[in-house]
Amino acid sequence: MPLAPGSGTDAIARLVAAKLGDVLGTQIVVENKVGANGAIGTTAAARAAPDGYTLLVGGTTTHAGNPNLMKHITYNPVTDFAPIGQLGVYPYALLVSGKSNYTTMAQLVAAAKAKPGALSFGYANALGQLSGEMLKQRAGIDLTAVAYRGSPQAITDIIGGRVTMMFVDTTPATAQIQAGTVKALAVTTEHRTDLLPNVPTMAEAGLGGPRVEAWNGLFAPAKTPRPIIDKLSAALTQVLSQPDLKKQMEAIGFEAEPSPPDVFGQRVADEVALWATLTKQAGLEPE
Amino acid sequence: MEMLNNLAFGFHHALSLDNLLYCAIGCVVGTIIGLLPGLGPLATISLLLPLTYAIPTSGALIMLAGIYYGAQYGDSVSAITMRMPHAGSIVACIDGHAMTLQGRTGLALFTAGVSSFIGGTVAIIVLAALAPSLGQVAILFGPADYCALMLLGFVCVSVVTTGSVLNGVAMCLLGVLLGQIGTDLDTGVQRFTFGLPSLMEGVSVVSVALGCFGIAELTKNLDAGEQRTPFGGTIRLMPSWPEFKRIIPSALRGSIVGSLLGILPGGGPVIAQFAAYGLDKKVSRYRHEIGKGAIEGVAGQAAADEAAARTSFIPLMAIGIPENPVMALMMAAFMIKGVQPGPNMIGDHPDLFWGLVASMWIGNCFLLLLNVPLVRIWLSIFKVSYGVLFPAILFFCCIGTFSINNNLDDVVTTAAFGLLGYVLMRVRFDPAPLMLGFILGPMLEEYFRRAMVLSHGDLLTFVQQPISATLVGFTCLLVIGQTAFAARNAFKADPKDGGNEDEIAGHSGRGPGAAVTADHAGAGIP
Amino acid sequence: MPRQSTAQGLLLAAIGLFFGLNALRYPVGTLARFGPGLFPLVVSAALLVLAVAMLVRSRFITSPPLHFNIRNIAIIMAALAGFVVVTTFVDMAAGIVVLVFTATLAGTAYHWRRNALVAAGLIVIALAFEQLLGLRLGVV
Repeated sequence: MPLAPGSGTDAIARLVAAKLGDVLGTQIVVENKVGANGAIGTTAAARAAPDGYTLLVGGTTTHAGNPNLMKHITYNPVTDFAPIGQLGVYPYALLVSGKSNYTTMAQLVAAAKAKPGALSFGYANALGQLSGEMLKQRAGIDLTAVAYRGSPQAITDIIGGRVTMMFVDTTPATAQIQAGTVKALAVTTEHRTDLLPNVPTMAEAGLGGPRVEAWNGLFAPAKTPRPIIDKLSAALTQVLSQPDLKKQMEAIGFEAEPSPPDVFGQRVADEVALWATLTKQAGLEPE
Repeated sequence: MEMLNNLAFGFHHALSLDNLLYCAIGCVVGTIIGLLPGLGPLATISLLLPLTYAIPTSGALIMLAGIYYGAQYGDSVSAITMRMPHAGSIVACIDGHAMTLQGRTGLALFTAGVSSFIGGTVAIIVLAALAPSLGQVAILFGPADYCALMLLGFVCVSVVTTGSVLNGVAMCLLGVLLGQIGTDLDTGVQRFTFGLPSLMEGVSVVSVALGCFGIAELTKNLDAGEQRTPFGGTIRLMPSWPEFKRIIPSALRGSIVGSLLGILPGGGPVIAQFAAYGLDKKVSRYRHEIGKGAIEGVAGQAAADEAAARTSFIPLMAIGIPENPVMALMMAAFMIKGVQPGPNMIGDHPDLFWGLVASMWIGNCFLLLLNVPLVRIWLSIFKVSYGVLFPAILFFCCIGTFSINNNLDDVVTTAAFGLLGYVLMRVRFDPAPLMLGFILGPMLEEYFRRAMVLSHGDLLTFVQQPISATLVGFTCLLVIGQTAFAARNAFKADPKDGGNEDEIAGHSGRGPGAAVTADHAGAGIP
Repeated sequence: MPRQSTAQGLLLAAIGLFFGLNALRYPVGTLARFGPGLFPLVVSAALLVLAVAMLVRSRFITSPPLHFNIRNIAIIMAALAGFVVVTTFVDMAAGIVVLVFTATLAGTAYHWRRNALVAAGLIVIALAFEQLLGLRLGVV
């Protein structure tokens, strides 16, 4: 677990670990090894003994973002790990202020076309920034990008109507959407999400493209024997189909979406490549 | 009346035996860990968060809140006794430590404890009465308004500085520059990192505080050849009645300042301590003593710090916006427990909300009760020979910085700031304004740039919006007033200014107690 | 030894120049889109102005000579550096021993026995942190 206690991913890891331990008949200890955007813990897991007893909860940051955004990464997200399975995704939603007149993507795009550069989008992480840049390209509009240190600050400015829109994971936004202080116009997932069943996807809004969302998955160090991986994968799929766990995850803004090792492995490889193109298009440099 | 009903409901909830126990555990553990140099509330909560996973929801949240306040109080203890501050206790280093050097540690700790209690109580009244509506204030503030608020914060430089204002402003600017180290938020450019990965995320406030205050102070004591045992005699803990009377007005002023600033996201609590200290220095009847170990210098800032810590829960609970990293961590804790902080929280979970409010006050009482008997224990630390104490302090500095990122490079950074702090101390620069600049500088830049982006480069945005226009106007008035005041004094006391500096020279050879007192001799005349 | 007020001015001027010259390497941008260089440039320029003012002021006031004791600060720095190096290559327990035995050189008296006890005590505390609080220190 390469991220800090209290992060959304940490909560997911703990929920899954408890259930997975029950299914496998052992106790799984969640150990946070934090630092350098998750790179420290991920590196440690890559070097751990491939015996199936050390696992890693990795995600967009560690396995797609960091390799493209950081210069000093000493692990390879594809070759150093044996994927076990995906845990699920954090759907990203496009938010506007609850007080604004926009109710559909079409209205928003039309308004942006009428006044190039007058509308703005906020972002607090690379994924939000990339989604905004992609929207600009696909809709052929000009938006002013505004950087934030954290999503909450950005949401404050969305509520206050100072920034027009932002792409953000639903975790910090759910309460605001329920209270009507912000409106979600679209989600970036492939299908409509159970978290926001009434919100259309970007594709439905006519602005489709590669799916951009944050995901989490379980990894073992590379060279972990295949039977162990299969056993873990089966247990994981079983755990993720439990309704009570799903519900707990949804409360955090996370949608369970299990996938078998090979499919997940392919997805990781695709994501690394996707991020490479996206970061280049958005003009981001490795740091 | 409804508020009283709600509070009664909350107390009923919080006074269950389990919840009382969790509150007490949280306060004690938080205080003990907060006492260690460098381990502030943020580090303490993230360390102890996993412990709460197994506890029922309301108990866990109450315990976390207890840890938070405990850690904050523990911080001020280490600031007062050892001059080892954390972000929330920088100002406590000024008068609090000066009191320690005069052998009045017991009184300083007592003052801090009582003032925190007063600050906490006032803040809880504010919280209970206004939380639902007050949360909206955070939404009213845009980048330009925050920017103006930061500018107002910088005015505090002139009051926290000891010695000439010129030096204070210079230190503040140096702090701003040090705050520039790290990755630029807007462009991702690495500024002043010299290719070192450990500087990529910027220098942590812990490194600066421990380096410039802690390590520099420790070396200075060693230079004085001091094997420090200032507490040979009996330790006087309880203040005399006249002393006690001095705590109250100052603590009340601090509570109000803290309650107001705590509601505002972005550095509210940190500015609160500086602002309260500044206010006391302007209006207190004992203002001439502040900076030299005055009760007011401890009381006001401690109350403000505590009050701000409480009211900073308002944006989180009323609108679901965590305003600082500690609150973000608290929000995560809420969410792990399946509670979504936000506009609906008070309605959906009244037991949690009012229980938490009530337990805050109960936590306050615990802290006060803890404080009185434990002060003797804190003070007995100083009966240990300095030869034992200082390697231990050094070790805790290392642990404190290491534990932020589990990275030894951060210890190197702290050591570098220790060297810088020592040099600054030797040329008689004061680290307090440096900390102010270091904390506010990056925020000022962030908000200023955001305001500029959103207004497309129009500087008039600062005077077109009512909040920022008011704040900017107020700041201008203060600066003009200060300058006029300083100019008049300088005109009157010009020949004496040099004399003052000479006086400092006369004292600097003596122990640190004398040096600090002399340091502040010039403070009255900026 | 230079005078204190002169040293103040020189030190600040050096720091201001250092940051200012480095800031020149970053793009300045426009008012609507600040580059990363603008803010540090403005601040270091202001610092330089203040430094010059201090140097001017130091001509007119008498100020005490500079006090500087290189020995103690050097010992403390060495102790911290030793701690970092030894902890990196051996473990934290060894690092603590190095820290204690080096740092106490700066004290007025040096006791082997006492240092050994202090080091042992700190190692126990570090172990307690690791076990009870879950700090990942890597003590042994």
